[in-house]
Amino acid sequence: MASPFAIPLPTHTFRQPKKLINNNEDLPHFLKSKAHHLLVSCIQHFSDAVTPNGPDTKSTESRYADSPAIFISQPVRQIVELLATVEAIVDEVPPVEGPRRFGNVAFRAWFSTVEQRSLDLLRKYLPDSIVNTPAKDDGVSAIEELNVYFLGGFGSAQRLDYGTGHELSFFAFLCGIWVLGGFETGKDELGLVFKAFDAYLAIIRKLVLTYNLEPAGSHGVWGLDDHSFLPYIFGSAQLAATPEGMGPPAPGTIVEENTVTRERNRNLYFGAIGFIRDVKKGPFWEHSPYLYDISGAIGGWKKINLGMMKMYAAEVLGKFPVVQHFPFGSIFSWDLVEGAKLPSGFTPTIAPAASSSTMLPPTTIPGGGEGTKAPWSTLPSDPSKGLAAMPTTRMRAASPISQSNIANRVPVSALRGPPTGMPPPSSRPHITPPPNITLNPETTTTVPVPGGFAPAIGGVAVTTAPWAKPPTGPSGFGKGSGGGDSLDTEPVSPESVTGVDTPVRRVRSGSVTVGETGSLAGGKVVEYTNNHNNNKEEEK
Amino acid sequence: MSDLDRAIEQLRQCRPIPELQVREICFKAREILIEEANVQIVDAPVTICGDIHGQFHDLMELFRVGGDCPDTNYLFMGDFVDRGFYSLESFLLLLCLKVRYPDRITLIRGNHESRQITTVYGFYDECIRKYGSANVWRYCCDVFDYLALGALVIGAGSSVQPTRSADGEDTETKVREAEDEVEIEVIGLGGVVTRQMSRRDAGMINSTNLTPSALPHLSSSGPAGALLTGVPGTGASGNSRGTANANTPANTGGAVLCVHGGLSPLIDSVDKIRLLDRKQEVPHDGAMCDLLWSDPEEIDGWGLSPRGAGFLFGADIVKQFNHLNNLTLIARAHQLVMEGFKEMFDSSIVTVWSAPNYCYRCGNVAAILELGEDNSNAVLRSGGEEVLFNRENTRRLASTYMGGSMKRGGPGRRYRVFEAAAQDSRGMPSKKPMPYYFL
Repeated sequence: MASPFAIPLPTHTFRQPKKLINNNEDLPHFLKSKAHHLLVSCIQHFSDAVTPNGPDTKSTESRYADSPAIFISQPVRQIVELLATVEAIVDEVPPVEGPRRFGNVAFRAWFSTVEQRSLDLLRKYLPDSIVNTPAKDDGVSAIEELNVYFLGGFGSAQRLDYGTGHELSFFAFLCGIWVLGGFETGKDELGLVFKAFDAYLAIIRKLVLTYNLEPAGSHGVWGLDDHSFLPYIFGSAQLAATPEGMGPPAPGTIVEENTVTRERNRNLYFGAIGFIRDVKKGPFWEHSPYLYDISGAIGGWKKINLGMMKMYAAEVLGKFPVVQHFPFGSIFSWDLVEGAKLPSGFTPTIAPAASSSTMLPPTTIPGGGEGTKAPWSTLPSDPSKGLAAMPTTRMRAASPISQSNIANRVPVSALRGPPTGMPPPSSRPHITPPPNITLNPETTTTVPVPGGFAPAIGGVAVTTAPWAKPPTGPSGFGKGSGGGDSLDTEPVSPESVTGVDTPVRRVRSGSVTVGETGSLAGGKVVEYTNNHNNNKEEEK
Repeated sequence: MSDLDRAIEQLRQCRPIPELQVREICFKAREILIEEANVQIVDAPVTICGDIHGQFHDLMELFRVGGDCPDTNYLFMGDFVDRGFYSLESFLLLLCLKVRYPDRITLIRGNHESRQITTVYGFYDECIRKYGSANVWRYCCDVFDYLALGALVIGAGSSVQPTRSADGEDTETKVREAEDEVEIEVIGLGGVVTRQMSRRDAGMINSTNLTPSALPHLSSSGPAGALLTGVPGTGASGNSRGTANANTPANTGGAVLCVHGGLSPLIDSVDKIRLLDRKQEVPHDGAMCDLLWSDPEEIDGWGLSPRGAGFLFGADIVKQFNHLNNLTLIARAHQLVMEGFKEMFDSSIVTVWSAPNYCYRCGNVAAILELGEDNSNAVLRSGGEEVLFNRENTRRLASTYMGGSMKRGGPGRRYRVFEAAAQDSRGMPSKKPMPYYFL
């Protein structure tokens, strides 16, 4: 797999990775980028590698994750040791006692410890060929570039959360070593997935348990898993090729405790299920309905594996809130793949805000744009201008408070009758694709709180505004006046109270519809269709 | 039995009602909610509840612990939906109860009662899964826009009737003297009184900065006296308390503002909340957003909220606001509290959290806050019969409370703590249609 992607160490210039996905409009570029291509290919390669083939398909034993027969090369062993070192740091930093909420602040101390030591650790544990590659020209060294992905794999110290975007970052770290020739194609795959990646999952679970990290961007019970995704891909792959009755537990057995107990150490899917059972109290079907429903898949583990790949393409790689934090450098390149087209169904339409008064659900909107976008995000600063174009008042922009605006009620006549935009009930044969969220679930928790007013207690919140950005401004507002003084004249935003540019709220604009067929679907080749240009024209 | 009663019965069994009926109920609910003020006036006694987040069985447990609706008056401070499995059933049940008993239950808006938030945190997905389309989600979101932004509880007593533990065991803290009033009572798991605090103790519970809230009982023409003129059919002197009462410190717990999140730098008075146009999606910023998103924090003044919406506000802000508005307490929800409730800033604000074992994993208990009726105040009674306030009177009463000088001291508060409902009663459902990617 590595050959088309291989990077020649001696001549390559490494770069400091940078965040380049800043809004929804950047997503199509990412989906056609070399980085995306590499990630997709690498995940597919590993999924294929852990799927039994040939004589191995006769039983699942050949793909037991805990099998002593798994070949572990020296470079893979080194990664496992690296991770063991990182895991041990958890014991150095116990959680802070005190009022408990989501997210223990001690996680920040843990993270900064790892941050301080990570370059030394990488120097110690990564293959010499990579470690000894110095920076060239105005670039950075190979391990400096890799370090960004490594550190990105352990959650957000700011927000005290962890999610699939972080998981992707760690996977990119392994993938990066791979393309730099650190592992051997055809030999190291099983060791990497079953030993290195599994050791990573163990750390994450320990972090989640120790510091109670909040799920980043959780759909509550309606998501796949609070924190992880890749174990479901690799775990289902382990079981995908063995015929039923020849070893693999039926998908429905994920609800059986004894099966989960038996399988969790040798299968990554069951390992993830086992962790859910460890941390959640309550009926499985209730706290994990998505996994429960999948367990009835007709077509068994093969079908589940394919579905997971499609879902990953759409819900992780195709979601702005998740991939926005992924940085790009020389290994994961922002350059476009020649001739690459967007996945079919991917329609990055940015609708004018005034065209929609009611936020329609994403799936009902042809072309997918308007509904998921906050209508006020691009409204003109003069509210009357925006409102004039809006058919009803229900989604009006936040208008300045005016003393004359005593609007406890609106004319009843304006509200009688069915709400506008409410189509007749329809019944659908099956579940529609999940909505295309423009929000930012990756920031579902709290608290950077830079500067002087940092809370002394644990993570403050359990929900963060989807449009929230970690505050990066200076140390806050200091003592406020309580708002009282300013209110007599004009509504004064807190920013202007202090005259400091504090990006408290940044509104995300734009939205994206993820294609019905994810780019991971059905094989290694990324399938794209050519509807991007059309849509671009619509944007204008 | 009316259709509505049947719907309530069905929802109590945690069975969703048909889409068309949802639509009908949402229309009716909107007609009721549209008549409500941004800050709805609610008479004590009332039981104040925090976040529910679709934890239907725990909502049933809440009703078991707090009394059924309409026997108990309820005030829910938002966040009915998202995260849990039964957002739909939970919200629809509360909405049906609202339509059925509009004066017995008050629903105010939480930050999750929003289109944008529900598309991220689960309610949208849930509606799709349960109905196969987004129609029900859309009906519900249209109702969200009409929910009140806050409520003002008036007529609460300054003490609660001490509860005797069922088993007669001695409580941890005894009321010191018989004549001492119980300001705070905590009824823990299993209905056992775990704490009673007299007003003299007047400390803070569940918080570290224990400062006695020994505010002087101001002698003034209290709301009771001022109110007399407002009661129809009774002259100012016709009330049993008479004019002499006007100069007597009224034995009242004062007004309690209930709001989902907290305060806003743009809002210095309750009247300013009344000026907002609330019939809209929750904006990304501004006063309406702040009321639903802000959090109290151990800071001075205002601070940036890590949530990206709303603000953090400190004790000085709360005390100033309460003073200016003659409030004795702000009740809010919005933040997980492991102990179910948490009083802060010398009991000037309390967080009430009503979702036990939040997200199936947090291991927290939940609580509700009961504010009792002010039995010593005859204002609400006339000739032994309760005077029913019409809207006009309520409004006048409110303005009296808002504008007049009122003694301070805080209402008597009874917290009932409860755990997550037992799970054995929930059977295994059939699997729903396969999610899209796995077809």
